[in-house]
Parts: sequence; C-alpha cells; structure tokens
Amino acid sequence: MGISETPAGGGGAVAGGGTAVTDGRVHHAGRLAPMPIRKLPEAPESAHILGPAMILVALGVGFGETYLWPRLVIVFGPEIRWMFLVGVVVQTVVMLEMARYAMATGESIFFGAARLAKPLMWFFFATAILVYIWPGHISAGAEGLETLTGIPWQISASVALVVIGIMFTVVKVIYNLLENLLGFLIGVLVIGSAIVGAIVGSLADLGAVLLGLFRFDAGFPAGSLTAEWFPLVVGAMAFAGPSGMQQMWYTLWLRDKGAGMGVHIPRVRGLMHADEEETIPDTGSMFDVDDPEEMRKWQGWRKWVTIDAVVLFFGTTMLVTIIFTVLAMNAARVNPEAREALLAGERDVALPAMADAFAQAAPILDTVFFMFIALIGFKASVGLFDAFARGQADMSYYFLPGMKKFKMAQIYSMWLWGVIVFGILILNFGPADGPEAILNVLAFLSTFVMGAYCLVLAGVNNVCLPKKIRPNMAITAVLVLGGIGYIGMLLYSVIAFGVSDLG
Amino acid sequence: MKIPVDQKTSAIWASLSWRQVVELMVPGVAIGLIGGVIAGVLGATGGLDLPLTLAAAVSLALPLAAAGAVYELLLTMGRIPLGPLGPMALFWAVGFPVARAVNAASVNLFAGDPVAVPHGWLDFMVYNMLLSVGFAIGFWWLHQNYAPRWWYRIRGRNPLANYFITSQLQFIGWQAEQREAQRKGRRDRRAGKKSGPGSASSLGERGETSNS
Repeated sequence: MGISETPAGGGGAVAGGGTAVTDGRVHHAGRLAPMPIRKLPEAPESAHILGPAMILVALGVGFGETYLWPRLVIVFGPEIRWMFLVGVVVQTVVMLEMARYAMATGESIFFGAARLAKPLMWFFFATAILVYIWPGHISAGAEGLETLTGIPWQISASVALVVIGIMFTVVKVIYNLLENLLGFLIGVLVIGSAIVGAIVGSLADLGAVLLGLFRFDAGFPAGSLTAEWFPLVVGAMAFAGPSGMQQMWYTLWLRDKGAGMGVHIPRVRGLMHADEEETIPDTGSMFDVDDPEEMRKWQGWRKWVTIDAVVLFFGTTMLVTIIFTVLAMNAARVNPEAREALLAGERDVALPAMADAFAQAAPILDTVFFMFIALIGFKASVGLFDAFARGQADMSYYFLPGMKKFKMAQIYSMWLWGVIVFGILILNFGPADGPEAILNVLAFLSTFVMGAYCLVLAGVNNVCLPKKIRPNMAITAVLVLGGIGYIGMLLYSVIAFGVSDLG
Repeated sequence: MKIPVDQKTSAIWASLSWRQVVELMVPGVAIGLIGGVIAGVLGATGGLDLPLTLAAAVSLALPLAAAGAVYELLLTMGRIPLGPLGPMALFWAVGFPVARAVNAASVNLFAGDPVAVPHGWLDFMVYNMLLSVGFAIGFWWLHQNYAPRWWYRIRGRNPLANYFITSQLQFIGWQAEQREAQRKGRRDRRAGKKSGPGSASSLGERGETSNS
C-alpha cells in the first residue's frame, strides 16, 4: 500500500509506505478506492480540547466497574485486580490504535476493515444488529429507578427511549449534544463517586485495592478456575473499560469531533437538519507523510489523543472502579451476608444484595447505589443508541447498494428509530436482553467481537496506513495478543466449561 | 518549587477590576457547589434528618466552592496553566482534604460524636488526599466542558475571558474555516458543472479542494 499519482478508481497496490505526495495524488490502501491527499489540520493544545474519550468512558464505565469487579473482589480478594489493570491497559492501547486509523484517514474502522476484506465489515455489521438491538442496558437503569421511585421500569425505559430518539432527531449536530450531555453526566458521576468514596471508604481498603492492581504474582485465585467463576473472571477482564463494539464506534466520534483527517468528513446531523448536510466524500483521505510539517502536526494529534486516552479513559475508568471496589469491600466487611449473597447470586439478586450491604455500611448508600445504576443505565443508553445508529449508518451509506441516494442523517435516523421502536416493543412484550434461545450466542458474539477487532485493527493499521505512521512491533504485539487472549479465553470457557455468557 | 507565571495572563489580570475577577470565579464555585449538592441529595434521599442533611451539604459545598474560587483566582493570575490536569490535581490534593475536614468536623459537631472520622484524622487526611485525584478528574472534566461556555458569555466585558476563549477557539475556528472552505469549493464546483462539462474525476476534485 502506498501513495501514487494514480487517479481515482485505481485501487492498485503500490509497494512500500507513503512517499512524496502532491495535490491530486492518492494513497492506495487495501482493495477499495484510494484516498486523496489532503492537509492535516493543526492539532489543538493537548489538554485544551477534550476528545471523544469522554463518550467512550461514559459508555465503558458501567456494569463491569460498578458491579462485576466489586463482586469479584468481595469473592476473591483485592489481589484479583491485576487482571483489571491488564484489561484496561489493553483497551487503552486499542483506543490509541483506533484513533491512529481514524485520525490519519477520517474513515471509521468499519471502512478500514472493508479495505482489508469486505466480509470482515459485514461481520461487524451483522454482529452489531444481533447484539445491540436488545434494550437490556436501559432496562437495568430503569429497574434502579423503579427501586428508588416506584415508577414501573417499563414506563420509564420506554419514555427514556422516545426522549433519546427525539433529542437525536431535532438537534443540529448530534455529536455536540452527545458530548455535552454525557460530559455532564460522567462529570457528576466522577465527582459523586469521589465524594461518596471519601465519606464511606477507608485508607486500609483503598491501599489494599491499589496494591491488588500490581499483584501479578497472585495469578488466578483458587476457586476461579471453575465453571462457576472462570467465565465471570474472563468476562470481567473483557468488560474492563469499553466492551463489545464500543471501541469501534470511537472512530466515528473522533471523526465528528474533527480530529485529524476527520475534519474533511461532514458531521452527522439530526433528521430535522438533514437538508443542511454537506456532500460526503466517497472515501477518507490521507496526509503527506513525507512533509515534515505534516508529520509535526500528526505528532500533535497523537499527543492530544494520548492525553485523552490516558487521563480521561484510563484515569477515569480506574478511578470509578477503585472507588466502587472500596465501597464493596467496606460493605462486605460490615455485612458478611452480602458476601454470601454475591457468591450465590444472579445479577438481579446480587444488585439488591450489594445495595443492602452498602446500606449496612452507611444508611444512604443503598440509595446512592441505585441512583448510580440508574444514571449509568441512562447514559449508556444515550451513547449506545447513537453509536449503533452511527455505525450502521456509516456501513450502510458506503457499502449497501442504493443507499447513497439518501442523506447520512436520513440513514442514521432510520437505524435510530428502528432500534428505538424495536426496543419499546421488546421492553413491553419481550425479553429485554434478547430471546433466551440465543442468549448464549449473543454473549459469545459480544466478547468474540472484541478479539476480532483487535486482530482486524492490527491488520488495518499495518496494511492500510503509510509505513511512517504505522504502529511499532510492540503495539502490534499487544493488539494481536489481546485479540488472541479475548478469543482464546472465550473458547476455553466454552470448551472446558460449556459457558459462553461471560457477564 | 517556584511555579512559573504565564506572563500574558498575568498582565491581563493586572488590568481587571474586582468585579471582572469575581465573575471569572463562577465556574470553579459552581462546580464546587455541585459537590455539596450531591452530598445533600444523598443525605436527603438516604433518610438523614433535615438538620444533619443541611449540615453535611452546606459544610461540604461551601469549602469546595471556596476552593474552586481560589483555583479560578490562581488560573486568572497565571499561576496555574489553563488545561493540564497535573496542576489541578496538585491543587485539589490540598483543597479536597481540607474541604472534607471542614465537612467531617461539622457533621461530628451536629451528630455529637466522631462518626465522620472513624479511623482518626491522619488516616482521614491521607485517604482524602488520595481520593482528591478522583475529585480533580471530575472537576477538570466539568471545568474543561463548561468554563469556556461561561467565558464565551462574558468575553465582551472581560478581557481575560476573551483571551481564554480565544486560545481555545483557535482549533474550533480552524475546523469551521476548513468546513466552510469545503462547502464553498463544492458550491463552486456545482456551479461549474451547471455552466459546462469537463470536470475532473471525483477524487481529482477532492485533491483540488485540499487545504493548500
């Protein structure tokens, strides 16, 4: 793959990485149309403009951080938390590599996968539909709200879905609304977590949790290599930070933020503003990697996204999990019955058990716990519906025949309202998490896709980008090992224990 | 350690009236108050009696708001740089434990015994200092998102707000210029197509519209 003077539609591979480029030249990447060479915008001062990591954090900080990991720590002790550290580090690397492709090309990772082989993209297209049309995430939050207010969860969840749909329909630029709303919610969640942790926790518990992060010598604790617990331990590693396809959608948010070459792609608008939509290019674009000035700007973008990843993503994810784990340890010590409930419980039983345990530690904490569960459910739903519609619209527009006669806003709305109407029907008349007959398949797919995107990402960045901006061997190794790790542990769980539901 | 001073910010600050300085403190105070509101809401919904709820909320809100005001003051004086998390985390490593100490002492006073400091003051202060990183991230997050909106509102009457917003808007302005240039290019091409054939291939067109 490389850069040549071949005009549009050539698509033939040129040996080596990117070399001299001028206006009219293109960068050949994979089997699709080449990318034109354009100017890379100047990167912002590193910390002045927050990136879309906040959306990824808003989606990623959820069930795993507030429930799965506190539960595992109560059961196995804080020494198990080294696995969380490993999981979040891998996800941080994945995030930076997703950003590498999106900022260098302005294309989504779905487009990148199609450049390698279109069936890869169609696999992600189908997996997203199978896994993300079920409104389970909002039902969990609505159940928390019902515990607090008595409002039936079906009503609050259905109303929330309609509100989300209307919000994303009337707004001019969807990304701006998403960033504002989720930025506020996650800011309140982080400050609230710090204050609650400060009121209830203790230095001893915090010290144990922090030390546990580095207890690599502890390995897999006794009792964790069983059919009952191994799938949950593996699932908790997979759910450390963003799970499922969330990292792939991050590339779409980066583009709408205008990060790197994303500035050359129009932003997704609400349906009511579809007529204002600019013409969408047929492909992304590439900058001149042989121009030192362009490479200086590229390094600025890498620095910007690294701050975004390390401080916002890594820092916030670690912080919320640490605080919730401290709370759980405190609760389990105060109320040993909570530990037994967690050992035996399903999620529906365990959540109230944890809340009861928190209430033993301090009277207000059961309320706090359900408030956070409700908040997490709502913010996750806001992000997930946008993400699903955004990803499917991107793939539909570029790769479904006949879709280019529609505007992106129209395709986005079609997917958004499709999943909302389906969600309302399912919430009121069907299983919110999906039909029981295929639950195992859905659970398998949601973890399998993480391994798959790690491997695809390694391929895309090492094949479709010019040599000068490809990831180094160590980064590629992390991606490949991460992909093999996710898929390997999932398959081991299925083969050795017959369990594919890791949540 | 001597903290370097941002000379430009410092020079503008020296020309401000007290009213202008005070209005620059609004974001920090507001975010500090959010902490107190959270404590109050938690106490109220958790079944604490009204006096204790108010004591918990006010005794946390006021010191956090005061600390937020001090942070803004240092920012406007150029003593703390705009943007990076590190200096903000250092600031809250002091501000947060102090605010929590005021809060705990007040709750102890109302509750009649040391319920808020069950493990002793040393343990309490160290623990809160460690957790201050969390509060700092939340503060930073909200500040980075919402302070610029406030600066934008007052930029006409406050030169330092205008300076802050200008430095942040450079990137956003660049993006807007890029998009407008692209829109203009496409409009021109459409006009060219209407007036006659002979346009280049689509990729060629994009090449021509690149930002040179």
